Amino acid sequence: MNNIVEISEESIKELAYISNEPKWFTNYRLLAFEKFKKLPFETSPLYVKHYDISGMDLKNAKLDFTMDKTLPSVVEDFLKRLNYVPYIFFLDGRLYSINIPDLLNKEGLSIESIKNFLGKEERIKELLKIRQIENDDDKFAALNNALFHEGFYMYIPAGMQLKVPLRIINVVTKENILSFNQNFIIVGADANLAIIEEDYSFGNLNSQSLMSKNLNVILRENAKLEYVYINGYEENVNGIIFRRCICEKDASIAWYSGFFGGLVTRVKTDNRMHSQGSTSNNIEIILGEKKQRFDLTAYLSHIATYTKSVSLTRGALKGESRALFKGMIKIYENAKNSDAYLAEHAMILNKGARADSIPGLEIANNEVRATHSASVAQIDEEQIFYLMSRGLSEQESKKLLTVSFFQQLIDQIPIEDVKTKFMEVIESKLDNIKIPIENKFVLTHELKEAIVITPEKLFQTHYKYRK
Amino acid sequence: MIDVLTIENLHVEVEGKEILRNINLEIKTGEIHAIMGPNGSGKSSLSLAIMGHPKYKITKGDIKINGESILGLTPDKRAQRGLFLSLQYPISLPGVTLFSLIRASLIALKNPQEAGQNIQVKEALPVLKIRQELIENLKLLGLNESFVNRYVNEGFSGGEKKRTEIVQMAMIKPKFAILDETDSGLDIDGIKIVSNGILQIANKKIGLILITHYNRILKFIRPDYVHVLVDGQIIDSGGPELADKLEEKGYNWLKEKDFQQI
Repeated sequence: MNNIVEISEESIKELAYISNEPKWFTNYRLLAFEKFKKLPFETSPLYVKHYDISGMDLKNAKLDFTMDKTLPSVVEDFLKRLNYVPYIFFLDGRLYSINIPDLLNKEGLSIESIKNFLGKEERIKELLKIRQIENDDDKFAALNNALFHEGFYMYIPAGMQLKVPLRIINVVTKENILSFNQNFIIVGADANLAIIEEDYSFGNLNSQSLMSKNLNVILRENAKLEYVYINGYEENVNGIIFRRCICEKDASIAWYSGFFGGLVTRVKTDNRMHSQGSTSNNIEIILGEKKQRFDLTAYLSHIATYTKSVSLTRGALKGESRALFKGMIKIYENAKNSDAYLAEHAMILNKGARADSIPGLEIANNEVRATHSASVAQIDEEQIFYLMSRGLSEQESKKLLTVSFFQQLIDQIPIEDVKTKFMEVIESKLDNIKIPIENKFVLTHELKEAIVITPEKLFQTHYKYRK
Repeated sequence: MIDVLTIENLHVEVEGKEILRNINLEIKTGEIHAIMGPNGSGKSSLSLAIMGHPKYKITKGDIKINGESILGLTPDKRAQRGLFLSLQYPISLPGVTLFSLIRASLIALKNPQEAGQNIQVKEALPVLKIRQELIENLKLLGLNESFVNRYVNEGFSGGEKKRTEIVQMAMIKPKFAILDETDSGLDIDGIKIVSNGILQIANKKIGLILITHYNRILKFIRPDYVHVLVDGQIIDSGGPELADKLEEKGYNWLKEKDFQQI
């Protein structure tokens, strides 16, 4: 089972050679690769039997160091509209372009390719230090450590209030790719921003690819990040994500994820509330069909006092799709007065689809509040009858019930245009309608109106940091 | 034009057990029929069988609208032919607002082939007008505007559920409405308001089938016909005076009368 990918030590050495990396770093990679080979799919006793990557077939997929410079015209057109917005664009998993409007550049917002780090001793150390803790107890995160060669490092200066969502877009146009990205985001004290990350693929991709991403986020004191993620891959792309956010004092992270596309999607989100008063919010919406697999884990790690977390997962499964919703509230000894809520609910739309919710609690302090709820239920026949008695067809009834099942979570998304996008994707998927690539991207109102963004519209500096 | 709902020699089974036998009824638009009977006599089963609930198997007989059988039709198609059922225990639909339900329903009933497919149909419906009409009907049933955006039956009191069912009837304007124990869960003032509402909405155009196990609502809505359902059979039919007699003497009186006839 360990031959998920056709990779050997030689591939790693080749990678190290291309990047001109220091030797110790190559050894780091080789060690991570050993770990990958030895690790089971899940290490926690609660989940050891619960993983699902069935259907993933990467025997033809390869690491690819070449870069195709021609952008599909629909994508090029969209990027032109993003001119005034900070964005990072990946083509086939390779970092293609970074756009930082001058205004933001002057104020200290920086985004660079991690390739600028890999060949330099001190800078790799800097990168690895950001992570604070190793993530190589996860099989795929370890594989990513062994092979990552693309990614970005983003720094949001203290006090910056970014008013326009920063965009991260990845478009896959080729088949048989093995891509390993590692991304780093540091949000300075009192800074506040929203990021919209979107993954799409298009074209006739007959053979499978793997897009693996490790995302490391640090929120400094009182920083706030709202992170939207949309998985809109077509059928032959497997997406494996390990993301971890470390929250310092009073910082707050909120993830809003829509898992709609792809074949196998495995995501682990670790929210580490490291210092007092930090909060995390994790909203996950899953709509599966055909043979899609979703293997999602949310960790709510309360390390300090007065930390608060909420994780809400809702999935609807049709066709022969399957989902595993795993979640763990972990309250450390010193996390007095912390408050955690974890909910994982699945709705099965037809026979053949399946879901399992497995919430867990590990609590080392008594003065806390931790609650969870989980359910897996068939779509309610009586509700369908009720709607049909009002004239709706069976298909329409199921659609309305599915949409309403997601409604409460969608209502929590803070960006109206993202809400609309989620709804549009859900409805078209339920109606078996494919959205053409040019209409897939989230269009925020700035882009719709194609306005030139002035400094006032783009960002503001927190009063504490005004010059 | 008068439409006719006919139930002929209907036999119904649930999970292999016969629960209705030899039911014959004819309801014309504009008429009010009451079906009375003790608990467990099969009243709700009859209403669900007419609406086409998949659990209820018709083993014999027929249900027709204007002479055409509707047995082969799914509930949505029956609704499109003009049938409406207000459930005894209305189901809650978390996440679906009353307005969105009614809008979806009106789209489906107005243009069944295109419902859900065609965005133009959705947009062609005068949303504001529907909203206004909904508010008026809510007021008619003694409910405030906030119900427009509340999730259907979610956290409603028993009486509010029954009232919003009648609001739905008002919006849908069916040919035939089966109201299953609309009076239960309502206090006496509620019954008055709801009865007036029903009469005003039906306006002698809808064929009403009121299912009840006591006479209360029939004091406000005088039926043209009363049918008594006991143990899955209609054992007596008559005018409104039958309901009064039942109240006085109870269902056993009819059962005894029945036995004497045998």
